[in-house]
Amino acid sequence: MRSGVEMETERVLLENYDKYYRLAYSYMKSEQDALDVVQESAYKAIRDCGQVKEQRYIGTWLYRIVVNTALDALRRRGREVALEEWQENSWQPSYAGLELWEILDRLDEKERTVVVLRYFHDLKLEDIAGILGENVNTVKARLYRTLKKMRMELEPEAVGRR
Amino acid sequence: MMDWRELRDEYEKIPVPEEARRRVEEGIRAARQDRAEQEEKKGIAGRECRGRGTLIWMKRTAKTVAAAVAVIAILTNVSPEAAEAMEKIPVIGSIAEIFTFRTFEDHREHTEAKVEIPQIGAGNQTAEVNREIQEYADSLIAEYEEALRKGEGNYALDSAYEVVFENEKYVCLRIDTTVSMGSGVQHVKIFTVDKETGETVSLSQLLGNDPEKLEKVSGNIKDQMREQMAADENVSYFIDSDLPETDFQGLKGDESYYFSQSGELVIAFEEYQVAPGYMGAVEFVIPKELTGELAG
Repeated sequence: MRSGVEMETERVLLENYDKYYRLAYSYMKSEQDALDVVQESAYKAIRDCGQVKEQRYIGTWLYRIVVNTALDALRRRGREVALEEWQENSWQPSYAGLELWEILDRLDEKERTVVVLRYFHDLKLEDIAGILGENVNTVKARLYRTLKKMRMELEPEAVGRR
Repeated sequence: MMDWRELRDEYEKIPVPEEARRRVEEGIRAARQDRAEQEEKKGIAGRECRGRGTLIWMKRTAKTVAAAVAVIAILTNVSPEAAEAMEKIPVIGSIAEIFTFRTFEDHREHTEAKVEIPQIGAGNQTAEVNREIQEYADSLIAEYEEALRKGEGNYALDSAYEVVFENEKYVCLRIDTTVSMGSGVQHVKIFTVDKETGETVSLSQLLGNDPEKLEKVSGNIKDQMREQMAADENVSYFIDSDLPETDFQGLKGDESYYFSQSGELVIAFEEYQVAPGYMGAVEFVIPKELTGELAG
């Protein structure tokens, strides 16, 4: 029998599949790989949703699955995306889009996760801490450090262009 | 300056292929199919998950230590006298027998706990240390059970131990605990045991119960705090604030400590004790010029 949690998990998955796809893409940088991550995440979500006992946690729990699945996939694939693959499979970013990747590429996995979830998915630090399985203070400190790092590295360039 | 809105727009522009929704549906379908197949295999014999929502005490032996220690651990449980008879002076051998005596594990809907409870040695002479360790573990578990009773959302407790220093004279057993409830807290507790007596040695005792020596170490910590804060604006300690009564006043003598590999005294504070939460649990290495040789 399908439980209420399972129905809700399915609903949230189908409603937010685009968000999960973009999140997966921000790690994988390849359409095919991001699609694989999304599918695998949906599989794990339905398989394991019995662990979620309160429906309001489903949203963040699903993010956690997508992040972990993407990181696992990255590790399997090796860190670097071959240039050919990048050009063949991926979206050709606009000039401004390049800026986004330029920024994200300077961050390590953890920094990137915090920035993407906080600023592009509007998640609260508490939720991000839950997603990463970390102390909220750790997440906060990392976010501040990351922002500082980004500003330091980006400011001269940005100023020069304006 | 960076513009988050611009970046966010770029992020939102990542095109989502039509296939994405189909792949999500495929994942859902595959999971249901696998489950149906498994249930079929299990048939009526299929049982509910065991032990969900119940407290399970697990006895485990010898984590990193050789099999011989496991034997002692088992004997302890069977007959303390037998174990004691095997133990010879000094109370704790040159490699301390430290093993996981018990693991407290509990997994429930929103709460989860895993507390490894170590023990040192096997004889009566280390009973006092082991009682202290057990008490500390009990206090963690009590906190967890309190959270269970209140039923306040997610609560996770994870406690593990590690031997951080050992020489002929001392062994330092460190217990790191993470409590996550909304936000998280890290607890640090270190038991430093004198191998000759088999008893714990507090910081005060280590410094010969000499308030002057304790004060010197406190002063050194304050100096280090100020130095670090001057060097890096991201570093912050409770010192020289506009609320002096909330500042770090000095050591009380019951703080956790251990020795570095080169034998320097290291003071380990609890999170929030001397610094804001984002600094985590902080430690200070006290130079030997100040303390002399303490580790023996």
